[in-house]
Amino acid sequence: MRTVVIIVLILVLATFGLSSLFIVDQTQFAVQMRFGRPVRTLIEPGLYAKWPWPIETVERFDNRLMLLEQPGEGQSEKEYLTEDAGSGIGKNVVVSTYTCWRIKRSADSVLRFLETMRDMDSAAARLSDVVIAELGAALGENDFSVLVSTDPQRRKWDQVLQQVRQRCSARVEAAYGIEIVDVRIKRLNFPEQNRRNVFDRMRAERDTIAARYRSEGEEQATTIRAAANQKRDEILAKTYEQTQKIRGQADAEAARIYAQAYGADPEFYAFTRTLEAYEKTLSERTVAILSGASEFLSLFNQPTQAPRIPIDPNLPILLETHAN
Amino acid sequence: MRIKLWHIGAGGLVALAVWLASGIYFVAPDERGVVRWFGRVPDGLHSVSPGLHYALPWPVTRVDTPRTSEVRRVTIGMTLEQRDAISSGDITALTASPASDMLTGDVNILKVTVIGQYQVADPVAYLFGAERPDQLVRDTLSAVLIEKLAGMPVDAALTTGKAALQLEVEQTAQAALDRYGCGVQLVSTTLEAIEPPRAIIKAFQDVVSAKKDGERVIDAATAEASRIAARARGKAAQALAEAEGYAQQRVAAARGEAARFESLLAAYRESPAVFRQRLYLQTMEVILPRIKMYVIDEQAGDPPTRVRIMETQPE
Repeated sequence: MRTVVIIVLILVLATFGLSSLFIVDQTQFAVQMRFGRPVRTLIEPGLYAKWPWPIETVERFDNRLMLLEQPGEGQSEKEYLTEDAGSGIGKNVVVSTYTCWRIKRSADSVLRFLETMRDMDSAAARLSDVVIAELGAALGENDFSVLVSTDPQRRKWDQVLQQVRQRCSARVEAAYGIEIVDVRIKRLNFPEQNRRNVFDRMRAERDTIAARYRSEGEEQATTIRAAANQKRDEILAKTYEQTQKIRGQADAEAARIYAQAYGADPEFYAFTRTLEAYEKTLSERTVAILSGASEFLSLFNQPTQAPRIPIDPNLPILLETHAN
Repeated sequence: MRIKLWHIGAGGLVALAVWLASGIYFVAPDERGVVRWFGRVPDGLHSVSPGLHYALPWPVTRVDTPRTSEVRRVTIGMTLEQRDAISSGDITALTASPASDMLTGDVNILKVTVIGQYQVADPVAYLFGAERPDQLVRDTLSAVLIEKLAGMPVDAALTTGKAALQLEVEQTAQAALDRYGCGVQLVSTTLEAIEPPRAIIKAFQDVVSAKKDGERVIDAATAEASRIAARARGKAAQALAEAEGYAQQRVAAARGEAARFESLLAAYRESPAVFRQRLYLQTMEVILPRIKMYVIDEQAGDPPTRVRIMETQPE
């Protein structure tokens, strides 16, 4: 019986002893509360002592960087309106964001957080409202091209989000002891109807570009061909000039040579050249009617060598030549 | 059996031994150990090497062993499964895909898949820096990707700008992650796929083939141009050669004829009458056999002869 009493006593003492010690983890801030009133705020991790339960209790908060996604699980994406300077009609966009926040690392901030938020979930819900409101305001003030544009001068993506972050900070930092590290857009799209319009416009743009490529190709090809033809004409014209010059010079040279040679005895030239011409021009198809008195036949007519054949003067002589 | 004090003592000793033994921990080769004594990381125990180690057991000590050499993977944009589903013609996947739309600077919609790979570089920061570090990596990469893409023309994003985009996303995302202090190092950021939505991909492909068409037409014209030029040059060379040939022949012929004439003349001068007669007769000898010849005997005093020549038409 005595042994049992001792064991029970040890257990009770141990429980009290253990509940008068508590650990603050590296990932936590803690507030030590006596009957619900904060008495000590613990920023640094370690082992601390307190009065045992139920006199004193400990509230703990996550001190890590918290990730708040908007929309969260099961929520639909939020639609925002941007200013549209061009048409005067706002451009609707669907936006998802994430926000990084944490409880500020100071005793005051932790107490402030405890007083206003009580826990991380309600802080996240409150923060979500603030981010939606500020993002909506910022997008409403800015033209769509501030976010989406190929012109780096117009585009102020970073600045807009910095502005959102600062405005959110201004609303929550002092009030709730929360520090906002970053607000970023992680998805940006159009609502379904506008999305179809974008598709149609994209298709039209592509068709235009394709047509341009084709016509530009044709145009260049025509230019290239025309240039080639011109070049060819130029080459041939130049060549003609050259060849004529060469021929002309040769003709002149030949003429000079002839003149020099034949000039020595023009009469003899005329004689030999005439004979040569006879030789060249008189062919099988040539019919020559020679007088008996011709020089060639001069010996032919000598009475001693050939008897004279009388010709009946009444009989005309008909000559027939044949083409072949 | 009565419980004696030494029983309790012995039981206590055994319990103590078991408790102390539970302080043995093991760090696997791909892990690093992070030890907390009463919630605080003591000096020198923020990155314990692989192997068997001892620390005082719970509740004094808590040990975490994050895998640091493991390369973790995160897919941004359209997942590979969605991509497969769409390319195999799954209509529901197609209509369900607006979530993976990304806008380019000239307001085109593209489907993009980026695969980020990262490692735990600082185990303490990874464990204690951020609430959900892996989700944070995913969100950061998404945010940076759409931010960069929204400043880029669609043509650059689809072609020449890919490498730069990839690099810029990686650098900017790493800078953000460093600022968040979540102990993560990006190993690689790969632009796995970037393409227009299925609905209008044909129009984009047509641009590519139009470009090729244009180039082909130009190539053909260029080839034809060089053919034309080559032919012209060939013709020119031929004409020049012909002209040169003509010139040479012409001059040579002239010289030859001149030389012949000169030697004839030399011979002629020795005895002009004989030479003349001989040359004449010689020529006649050649000519007369081939021509048709009629001799008209014309004695002085004969009446004039009437000669009519008729030629029959060749058949």
